[in-house]
Amino acid sequence: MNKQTNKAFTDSELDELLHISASATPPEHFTQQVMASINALPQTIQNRPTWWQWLALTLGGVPAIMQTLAFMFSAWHVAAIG
Amino acid sequence: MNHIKPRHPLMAAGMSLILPGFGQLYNGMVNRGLLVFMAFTLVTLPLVLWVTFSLPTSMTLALLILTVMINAGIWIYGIVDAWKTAKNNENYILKDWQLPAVYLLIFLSAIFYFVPSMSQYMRTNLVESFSVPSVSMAPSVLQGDILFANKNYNCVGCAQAAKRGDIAIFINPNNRTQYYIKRIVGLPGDRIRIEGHQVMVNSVSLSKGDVDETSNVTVITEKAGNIEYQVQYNRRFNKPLKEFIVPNGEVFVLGDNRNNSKDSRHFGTVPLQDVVGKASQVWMSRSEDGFRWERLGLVLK
Repeated sequence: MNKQTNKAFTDSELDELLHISASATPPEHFTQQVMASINALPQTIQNRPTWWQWLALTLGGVPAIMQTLAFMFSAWHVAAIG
Repeated sequence: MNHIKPRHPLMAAGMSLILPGFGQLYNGMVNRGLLVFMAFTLVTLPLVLWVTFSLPTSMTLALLILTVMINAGIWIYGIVDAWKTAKNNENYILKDWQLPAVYLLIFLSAIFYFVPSMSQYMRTNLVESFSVPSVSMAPSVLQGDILFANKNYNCVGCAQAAKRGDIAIFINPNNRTQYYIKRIVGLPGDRIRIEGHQVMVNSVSLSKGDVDETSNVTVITEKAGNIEYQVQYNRRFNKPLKEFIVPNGEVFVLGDNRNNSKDSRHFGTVPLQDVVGKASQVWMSRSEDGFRWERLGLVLK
């Protein structure tokens, strides 16, 4: 098994290394692709429901709860006998 | 474009409050929403069907209370579940179908079609409650009684056919917007005759001869079919009824409070098709002096 040693590079050694290695060429349309990917990421929209959503919930809620309760208690709904 | 739109717990809980399962849809969980809604509605109907068709009448009240409790439990579960799921859904990506118009369509269909239809089905075909404002059926049914009526009665495919002795709910022949409650005494083809305190059906007296005259009324025990019950007369003169044959497709009904009842002696026989239910159990009874607790759960016969 090879034993790895942690050796700190000096600045001069790093300069030397950069000089001997060729610069990587970015792929074609790299910038545009990166921007397109960023645009495709999900956007966070404000969490809080708007006022009209609360209004709809309240206005719709009244008849809805009445109907739901009417169903729950349908056997108990009293009709009058003459 | 996709949007991360965290779910708002209060909105989710509110939506489940107004319609069971609606908050789950808001959280994007279609299957769970449907399951909660179906549990809320369809669990109730089979339970009530079971109560109506299979179990003894004496269990109607207890089991209908149980169905309400199950309903409430499912409803509360739906609210809590919607709240918790929304709270843990901070990175929720809005689905394509989650549009206001879709919510509106689902809401309107459920609230103005499915739920009312099921309520109506239950009241028309299974069980309905009636309040009794008159004394015409005393001493069996008292003024102020509220009772369950079995609506799975006297129809094609129904569990029970109309028979002598049943306390029937029927449409008032003179006012079809009103229900009446009386006891069926004669079936189609029966010969009915009334003399004094004696009601004769096919020349056989219904009276069993037990007379209780301790109060200011005379209480007589009668037996029609297999059902034994008590009727009462006051001291007033009872108009006799000459022998009369009940026409086909009709029934002859009498109130148990014979001197204080408008029944077939006044409005004639009642078409069988207008007999819509059979009184089964009292679930509340109130007089001027307050609640009559002893009548709670009383099985009517």
